[in-house]
Amino acid sequence: MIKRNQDKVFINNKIIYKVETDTGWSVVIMPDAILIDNYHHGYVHIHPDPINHDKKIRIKDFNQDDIHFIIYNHIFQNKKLIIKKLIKELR
Amino acid sequence: MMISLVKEQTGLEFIKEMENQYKSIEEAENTFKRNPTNMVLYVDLENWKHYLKNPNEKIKRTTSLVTDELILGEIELQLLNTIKRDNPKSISELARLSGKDISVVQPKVKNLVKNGLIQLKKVYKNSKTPHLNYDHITIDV
Repeated sequence: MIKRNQDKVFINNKIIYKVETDTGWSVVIMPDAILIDNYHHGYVHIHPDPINHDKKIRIKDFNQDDIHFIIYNHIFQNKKLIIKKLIKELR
Repeated sequence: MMISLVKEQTGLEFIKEMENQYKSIEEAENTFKRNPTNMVLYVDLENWKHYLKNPNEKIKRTTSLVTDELILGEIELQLLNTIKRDNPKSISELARLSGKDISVVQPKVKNLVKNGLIQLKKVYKNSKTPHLNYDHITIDV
């Protein structure tokens, strides 16, 4: 039985990773190194600054698929990642 | 168009892939300490630790390419089918089994490798064996 899924989407020079882990789930946007997850705290948050991993912003309580879909649409429509705009879309 | 490539593997196979990529878990952890913005390595490490405890657990890994270019034409699909069905030992054998000239097959194989759909493994001294990287391929338009 498959217990975990790991998805990787290549779109407009970005890669969106969707990963399930023991402590929760995460969505990663590379090469920008933006992490959205529900690890440790139980609530969904975004780490908008890859240099300062401790910085996190709580976002709306979407599930992993919703987050993935919002990010996918954001990159598809803007042809790039606009982090401030994405945070607004996620809050 | 979105082309999705699906691979199902056990935890043990996942660990082997990680070892090929990062050598050892200690080395991967050191690399992450040096480059803490590598979020892919961060989640790979978490999964690696999980599968060390659960080597028989199954994982479904999907890679999707959003592209306007049609990278899979009739010949490419035929080559993928031949690789999966007949396990050719070399590109020349793949050309022979699919009834195509080697000059047609070679650039197609090169593109399939470039797009990550197949791998060329050096099993025999003078030839590389084409190997399918995925169990299923789906195309959404």
